[in-house]
Amino acid sequence: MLASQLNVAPNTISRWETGVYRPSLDDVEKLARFFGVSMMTFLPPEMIHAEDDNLAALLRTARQLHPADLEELMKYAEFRKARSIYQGKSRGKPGRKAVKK
Amino acid sequence: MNPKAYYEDLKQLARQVRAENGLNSPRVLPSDLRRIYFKHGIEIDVWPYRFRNLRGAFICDKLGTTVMLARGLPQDPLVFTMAHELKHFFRDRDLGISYCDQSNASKTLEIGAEIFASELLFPDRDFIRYMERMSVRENECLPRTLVQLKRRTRTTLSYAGLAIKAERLRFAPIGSLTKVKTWRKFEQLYATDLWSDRRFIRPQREIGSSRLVAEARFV
Repeated sequence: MLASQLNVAPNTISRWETGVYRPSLDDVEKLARFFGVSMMTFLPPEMIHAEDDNLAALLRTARQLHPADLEELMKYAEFRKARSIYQGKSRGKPGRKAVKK
Repeated sequence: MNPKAYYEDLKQLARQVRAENGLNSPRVLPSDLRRIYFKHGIEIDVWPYRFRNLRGAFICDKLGTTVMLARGLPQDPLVFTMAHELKHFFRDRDLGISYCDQSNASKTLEIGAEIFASELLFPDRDFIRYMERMSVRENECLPRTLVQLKRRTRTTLSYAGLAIKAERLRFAPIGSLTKVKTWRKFEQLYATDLWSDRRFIRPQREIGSSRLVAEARFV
């Protein structure tokens, strides 16, 4: 069910659960939508704590928006934050590395 | 600074951005604006989910400077939204977040962004020159005139934007064009006689000269 909703193989879900693979940012976004929770749920709490106030302040100005748009904008802001966390701890792609001379 | 001076300042800024980035015609493409965004280090995110009213948002904080664009915008609204958000980058970076939808359209900052975008895509001075070229005088601009103008210049400023500009510059009575909702019908109605003219079948994109190259096609 989850695998088909996210359009990934069931094995992939299993590997996310066991920590063999880390889901991509897009996959985290889809997971958050599927479970109806924040993307931050899937990120280490110690990394997101410092940013919470910032996100709230960021969206305080957007109260006039249509509730659906505000919710979507909030998700975008979360995505943006999650991306910065991801980029900060990215491990690089597997495969042969270029040799520096 | 009073609103009028503020809006004039934004127009001046828009003309400066055009000059600095080689935008010489009223046809500004998304690629032109992407180039400007890239030059200033602004990241573009096309958000793949639907919004009701929101077209774009500008966020500048310690994570960086980002413009979010709603997916599926046609070319003209996309270009206008990108130009609109560019104003927030140049003038409203300290605010952190700016978004553009109908709920905040009356705020001075947002009106300023609309004026900046309009001037960036089609400067008033060029608009007046085109109108003079077409022998359109005060209060003489009709929907047909704007259809011809848009076709001939291939401008990416929308009909709504052109209508506001024409009324503001007194080429049309107030409300005569901005209340028009059937631009597509007008386009179908008037486009045929224009496109039968072979000179307009394959217009070239005007680049490389500050003169309005498209003028040649007006003769």
